[in-house]
Amino acid sequence: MSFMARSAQHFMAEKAARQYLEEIMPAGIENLKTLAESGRSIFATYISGCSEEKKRQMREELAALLKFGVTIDMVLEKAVRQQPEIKPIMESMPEYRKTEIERIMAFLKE
Amino acid sequence: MGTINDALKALAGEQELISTADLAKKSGSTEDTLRKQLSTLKTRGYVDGNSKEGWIITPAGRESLERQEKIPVTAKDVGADTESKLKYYGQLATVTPDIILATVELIMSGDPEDLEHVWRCMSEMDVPIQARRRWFNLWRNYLKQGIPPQLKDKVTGPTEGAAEDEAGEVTATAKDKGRDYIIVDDLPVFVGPGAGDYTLKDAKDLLQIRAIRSRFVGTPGGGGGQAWNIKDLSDLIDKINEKRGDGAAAKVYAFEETEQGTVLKEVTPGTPLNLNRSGGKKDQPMLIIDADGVVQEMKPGLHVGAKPASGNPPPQKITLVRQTDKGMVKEEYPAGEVIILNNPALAGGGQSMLPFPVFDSEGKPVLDSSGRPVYANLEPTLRWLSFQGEQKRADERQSMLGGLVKTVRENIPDAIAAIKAAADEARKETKGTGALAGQPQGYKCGNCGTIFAIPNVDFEKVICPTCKREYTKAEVQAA
Repeated sequence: MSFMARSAQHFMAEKAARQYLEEIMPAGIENLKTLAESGRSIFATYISGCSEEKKRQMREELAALLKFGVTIDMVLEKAVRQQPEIKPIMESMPEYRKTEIERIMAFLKE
Repeated sequence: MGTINDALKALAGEQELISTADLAKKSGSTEDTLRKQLSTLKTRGYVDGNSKEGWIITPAGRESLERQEKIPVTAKDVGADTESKLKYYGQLATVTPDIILATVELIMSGDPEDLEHVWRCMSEMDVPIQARRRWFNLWRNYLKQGIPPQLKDKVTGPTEGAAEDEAGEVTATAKDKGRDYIIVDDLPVFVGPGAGDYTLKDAKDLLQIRAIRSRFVGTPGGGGGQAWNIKDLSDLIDKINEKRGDGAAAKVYAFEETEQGTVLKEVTPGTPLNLNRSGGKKDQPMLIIDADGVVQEMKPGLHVGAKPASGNPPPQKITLVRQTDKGMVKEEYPAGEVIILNNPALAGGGQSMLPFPVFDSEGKPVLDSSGRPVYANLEPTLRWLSFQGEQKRADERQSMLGGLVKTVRENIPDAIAAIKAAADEARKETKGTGALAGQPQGYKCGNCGTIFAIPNVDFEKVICPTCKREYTKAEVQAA
């Protein structure tokens, strides 16, 4: 992979992580932790509250990211770096993280 | 330490540019010393180049070496005798070696301390004037003598453009330099160096001034200038009168010859004009232009009564047609009277009318019983249409804003609210199972003591967020 392609992936992952954090963080870190500890999917809960238009938009954006080689795992890593408060949720529970990624992929295939 | 001759010899062995550092090694002198030596050699034209690009010997330098000429630098090189000193100063003054040899030979045939003799010898050997002056002044200072009075003009005279005759007299001066042009038929013509009357710039300036002067005064021979005569002025006045139109009264003008030249005077209608030609030329006729633009010759001393303009008389009345509630009204006002048009609509009065002729289905205008066309007032209709348009736009804007608000409400608040609701529900469930509210169901790390949450989903291992130690499901369940 060329230097330009890697830079573009890095940039897009950073931007996606920042955008999704801006959308989800107003819910409060405690609420997110509670959801994670109870085993409920943050992503699925968030998506359930979105309109069809918003769902379609998110699906398009995530598909575009995957098309450029930016995986969901990369976006989550960037999100953890940008918002260290969610680090315990993502790193202490690898199964939970894995489940979240699977849910996102399933959402894309809907 | 290498001498300047060593530097030149070192350069002679090089066919290409050589740097100062390499040359310093080759000539056996330091770089600083070599730079000074190279600068001196460059001044004399023996080397070319610079410190950046490198140095190379010139043909003159090679020739100098071939002649085994030793360039004098030190007192030892220069020599204590008069001849050596004279040669040395000649070289410093950048006189060519052959001329130096010939001139010194000539000077030494007489008294070298006689400055007049020295100058004459230099002139006879055709030493260039600038180099000659340098050489002469160097030699004069060496002898500690002043400039002889009879040589003062020659030694301190102008340098540029100076020429000499056979006797060594400076004939041309700097004043003549550049005066190479004369003016022929309003054009600068080159006639040779110093043979003309003007420099090119002076000639151009002079021609420009002549052109401007002839444009206003006129040239007797008509040499390119645009002269104004009486006929041109009368044509101009005619054109001005044409532009004014029929309503304006045409004026009568007369030209009077005075000491200051031709003066144009306006003739007031009904006022006699005394044609005084005391300052004018006797042989020129007196002319007058009447209101019809006809130029006539007048005799001096006569009274001329200019009749008033016979153009179309100005209108005496103004007819005004306007639309009122009673229909079209025609009104007449005296000319010059101020007419104020009162617009009731603007004044906040009754409704103004927008008249529009009514046509039947065949396209013919509809006439009333008296045969006059019928007009429809479209003002209320247009207002109603305008109101409807504004209302429609306002509705669309409101609808768009409502949709935007709905979209915003549908997206972010609902999604965030969903997370908060789900979190509250999870807390209630946890509370129902007996856990303390706000206290996570966690596992204490045996390594660092951190209490971290255990997911409610199936898992194989958990990692301590602090020390990264991994715990299997069996270990956690056993705790």
